[in-house]
Amino acid sequence: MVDLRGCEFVFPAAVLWCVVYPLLAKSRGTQSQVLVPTNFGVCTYLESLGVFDILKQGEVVVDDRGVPRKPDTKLVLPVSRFNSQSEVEDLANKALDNLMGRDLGAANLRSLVIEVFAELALNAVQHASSTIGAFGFIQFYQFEKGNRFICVVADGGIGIRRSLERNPALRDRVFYDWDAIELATRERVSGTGDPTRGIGLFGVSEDMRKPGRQLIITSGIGALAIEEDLLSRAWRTVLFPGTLAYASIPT
Amino acid sequence: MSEVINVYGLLGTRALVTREAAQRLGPAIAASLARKADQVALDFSQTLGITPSFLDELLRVVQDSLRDSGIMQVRLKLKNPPTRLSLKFMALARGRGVRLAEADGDTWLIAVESPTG
Repeated sequence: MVDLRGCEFVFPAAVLWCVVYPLLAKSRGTQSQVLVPTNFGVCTYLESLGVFDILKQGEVVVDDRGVPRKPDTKLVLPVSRFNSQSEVEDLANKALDNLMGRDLGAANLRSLVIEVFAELALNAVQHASSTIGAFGFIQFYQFEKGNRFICVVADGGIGIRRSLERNPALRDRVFYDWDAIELATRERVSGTGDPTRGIGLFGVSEDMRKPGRQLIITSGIGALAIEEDLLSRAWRTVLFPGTLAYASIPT
Repeated sequence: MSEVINVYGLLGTRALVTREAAQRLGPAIAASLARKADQVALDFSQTLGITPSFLDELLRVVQDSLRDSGIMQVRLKLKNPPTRLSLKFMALARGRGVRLAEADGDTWLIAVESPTG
């Protein structure tokens, strides 16, 4: 049971925690239930993102009675489940259509947002081996300090360290989750062993090293942050049973 | 001889993000090489986004087509690319052993050689 009743605020990066944990529990044969926040605003936010629908589709018990379905014009892509490259392509194009249709953000940023989302989503599909698939959403979020595009992708898979360990050449370089995440952002590092692969996450990391942008990746008990004035910082953190990537781009 | 492939006309999507999307350009590229084109232009004028994964796979598709056709090299011209030529695209070109340069602000030039060359 995931008890969100006391939540007064859910940061966008935490939204997919509320999805992955209960769905993983359900996939492992446990009766899974999410107690929705009593805070009406938080509850409405999660409902508008499509969180409760995704959970119920996964047979997680959710009592969202009385929570209104308010269309959110700032939501570029609701929480969506995907398992294949073609599904990622469909979602990327749907998100691009929404960005253009709602005239959100500058034209040059729209391609960046789609590219970042797609590369993170493709990594989840191709490397995570997640039994529950992968999830992602894109939101135009109004923070106090300014508006941002938020892309979040998560899976309940094996994590970056175990993915890289599939490449025998990397096994002696990834002892902990945090150094595995850091290594994965480097050029041509891939668990596939293919010397031409390993450019997706490297490219996203390079794009996030720009003013005001931020990339945070959590996998297993490791985490990594990349910002313009913080080339990268990796640390031990609380367990996430899979990988979650959060990208934030100012408009 | 130069050939032009309208990418949006062929694929029908504005965001080209997957390796699968690049593979769908394979037959058109192979057909151009079969017609002895020494330059193949891909017009991205209605494309609004591409990923490094897409471009990397496109280069692989071109290299495989060169190998299969027995042609040693081809000039690839990407017209109206939807994004600027950044470090990540230069990095993937290095990894593929191809030369990539920007020309005229709206064209990328790529010299691709057959992997058997």
